[in-house]
Amino acid sequence: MAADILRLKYKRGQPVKYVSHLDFVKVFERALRRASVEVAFSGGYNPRMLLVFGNPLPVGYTSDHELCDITLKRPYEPEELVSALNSTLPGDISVISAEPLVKPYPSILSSVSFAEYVCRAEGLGEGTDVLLNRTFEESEAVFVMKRSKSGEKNVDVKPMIKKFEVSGDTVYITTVTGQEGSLKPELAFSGICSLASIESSLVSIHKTSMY
Amino acid sequence: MSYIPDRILMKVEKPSRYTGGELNQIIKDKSKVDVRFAFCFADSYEIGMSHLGMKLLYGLLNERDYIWCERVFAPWPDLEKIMREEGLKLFAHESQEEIRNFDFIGFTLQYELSYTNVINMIDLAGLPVYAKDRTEGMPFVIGGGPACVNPEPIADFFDLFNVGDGEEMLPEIMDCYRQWKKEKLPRIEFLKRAARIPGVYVPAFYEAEYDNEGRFKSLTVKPEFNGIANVKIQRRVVPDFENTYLMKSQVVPYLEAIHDRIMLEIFRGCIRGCRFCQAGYIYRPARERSPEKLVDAAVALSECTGYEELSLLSLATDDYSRLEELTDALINYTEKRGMNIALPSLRIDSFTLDLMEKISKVRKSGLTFAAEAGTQRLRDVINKGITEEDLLRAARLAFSNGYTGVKLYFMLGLPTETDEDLLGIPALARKVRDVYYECHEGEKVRPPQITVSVSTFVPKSHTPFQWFPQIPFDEIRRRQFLIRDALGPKYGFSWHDPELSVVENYLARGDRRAAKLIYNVWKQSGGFDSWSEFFDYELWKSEKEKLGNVGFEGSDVPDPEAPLPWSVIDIGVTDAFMKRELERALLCVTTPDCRTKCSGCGVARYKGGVCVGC
Repeated sequence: MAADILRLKYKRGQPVKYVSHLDFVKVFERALRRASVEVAFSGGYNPRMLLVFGNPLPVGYTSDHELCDITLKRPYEPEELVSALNSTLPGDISVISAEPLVKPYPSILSSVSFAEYVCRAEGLGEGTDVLLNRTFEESEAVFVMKRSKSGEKNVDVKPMIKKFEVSGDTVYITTVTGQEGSLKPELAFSGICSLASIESSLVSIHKTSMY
Repeated sequence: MSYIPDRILMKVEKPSRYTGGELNQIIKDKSKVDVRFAFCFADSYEIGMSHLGMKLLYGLLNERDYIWCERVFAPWPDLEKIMREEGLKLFAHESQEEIRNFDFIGFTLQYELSYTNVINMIDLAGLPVYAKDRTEGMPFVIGGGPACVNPEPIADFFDLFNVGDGEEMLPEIMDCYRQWKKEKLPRIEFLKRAARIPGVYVPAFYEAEYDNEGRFKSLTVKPEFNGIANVKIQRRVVPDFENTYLMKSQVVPYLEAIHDRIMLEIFRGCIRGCRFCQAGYIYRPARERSPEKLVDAAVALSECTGYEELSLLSLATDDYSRLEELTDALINYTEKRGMNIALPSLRIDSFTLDLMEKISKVRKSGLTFAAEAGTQRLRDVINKGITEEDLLRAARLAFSNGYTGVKLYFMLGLPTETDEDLLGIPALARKVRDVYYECHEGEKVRPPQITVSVSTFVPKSHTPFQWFPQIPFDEIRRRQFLIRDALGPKYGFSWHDPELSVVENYLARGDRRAAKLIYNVWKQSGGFDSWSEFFDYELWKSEKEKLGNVGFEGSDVPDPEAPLPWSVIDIGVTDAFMKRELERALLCVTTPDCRTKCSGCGVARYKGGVCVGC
């Protein structure tokens, strides 16, 4: 079904993991321009392409599931838009699908609640995976220092962690994301590590999906 | 795979500066090329990626199958520190490989304060910084770009320089190198062969002499290189600019560069001849490209980059003879694509309503008017052919078209400058402010934002002002305060740090002895002297004091017969013309632009310019 507003699901691979969100928006806009996609523009002195992105992906992460709403000057078939954009997107960025949207539609932030990550940890000794898993299950609270606009605060993030499972040096974490705030997997991991008195950190973080 | 491991990249600022992989970068099979060229820009990635010359020569060199040219930038100090701790070496962006095994390490030399970064990069590559210490099997370090018109301060660090336009010369050097490499000859043989290519300067073939008082006396070919090295190096010029290589692709950085846009070089050289301006002499003659070629290039570049902005590049946009035709054709294309056009470097005297409308069509950015000096007398001395009326007319046009502010740009410390000239600056600013209120008579308007920006004059080689001194540090300060106090609180005021200008002066007219100064400072500072957070004036000053004379300093009563350290470079403008311009400056006589009348500067012999009668 052709539509003039579509929700794009795209992935960001290794080569662009250090590109900041603001720079990434430009990469996206330029790919649209190269593909001659007829994107709608805002009015005013500095017309901008009508693109709405989900929460910024932190620098250093890769992801198989990012979202962007795009408004077009004319209706596009999802396949047409996806293939046009994929022909010009650089560096292992690609659009997986496009879903037509009809007004009123829920914003990206209100349509997702959880993000699933697969991470790799550094410095985990043998058997520590079992210890970490048990620590998480048995803990009543996981306190971490969370930075916000009003400064640093010691917060219990346990309610924000839906899943935590370590196997070898692979860490599977599911945390909340969206309107109600979100939790970075490295914070969850470091909170649980300090409960278990283990020194380790995540060296790669990959988002597999959001739902 | 990036050369710098992830664990380090995660710790440094803006890691995407180092990982390469940008759109339109050129990757080749290294086993199939004969020459690997590391094209270095001695500053951060964001600055280097804004530079047109690098993009242009990158494209041009890579057109040849046997060359793989890659980009190299100075790592920011946070990364450099870790690299040095861990023994990592300077690497190229495309291959992510160390450059110490390349055939050439090339630097485009843009500003004097980057010299410490140049040697820092050679050192970080793992190579000796002095050319004399580099041995068989090591890369050749080659320099190009505008600062090469006085290569002496950095002569000891370079194996060779290519002076002037690189489009023809650089490939000739590469061909010569490829042949030399095939023949497996000693290092010195390549330099001897390269020295025969017009425009190539091999500094090791020359030696300098100084008189008893430590003043520069001469630079001559060493006896053993007689007949091999040219007595004077003739700057190279591409005469057929219209058909010279024009980029059809450019690398698009992931990280926003300072000037992140399509750049179209509409013409090279300048017809004006402002006497303080080195660029006005060293790129002569002015040569234009046709709108047809430029529009083709603009479309090609836009399609392969997707950029949102296109900028016309030259020394004075409105001196381009077919500007209207060009901008109309470009706007026709860019409007459809939602792109902007930037027209930098506009002159006050030709600022028209039509141009005004064109820039307003795209974006209301700030307007800068370069008046350069506060009085007509001084503007005549420097040959800035504009009048107060030109300035006020341009201001009127801007204010009645919705602009609520302008930036007025001046220089301080110009030859023959008096307090009256300096006080002319605030007086002009006040007149511009009055014009604003005249334009809005009877309306209730907010006060205009008028900013006066004053930089310090640095006498440059190959200009008629090369024989003048720079005014002393304390005097620079006094003159800055004089303007500031006379200006009052209704105007914005910005100035250049005099410390930077003083050091720039040491280097701009330095001779070979300045290399020691650059080396000594670098040893202690580590580079990045063009960034005020890393620049250490006291260090430069004390090292300079220790060394004494390191170059030509000029005098209040200029002696045009004094030998100049850079006279080994013949930029094509004759000595006689420079002396004539010096005399005319002292008599406050202006010289017409090259389209109005040929003043016989000497570059007509290159042909291909827009100069009258050529």
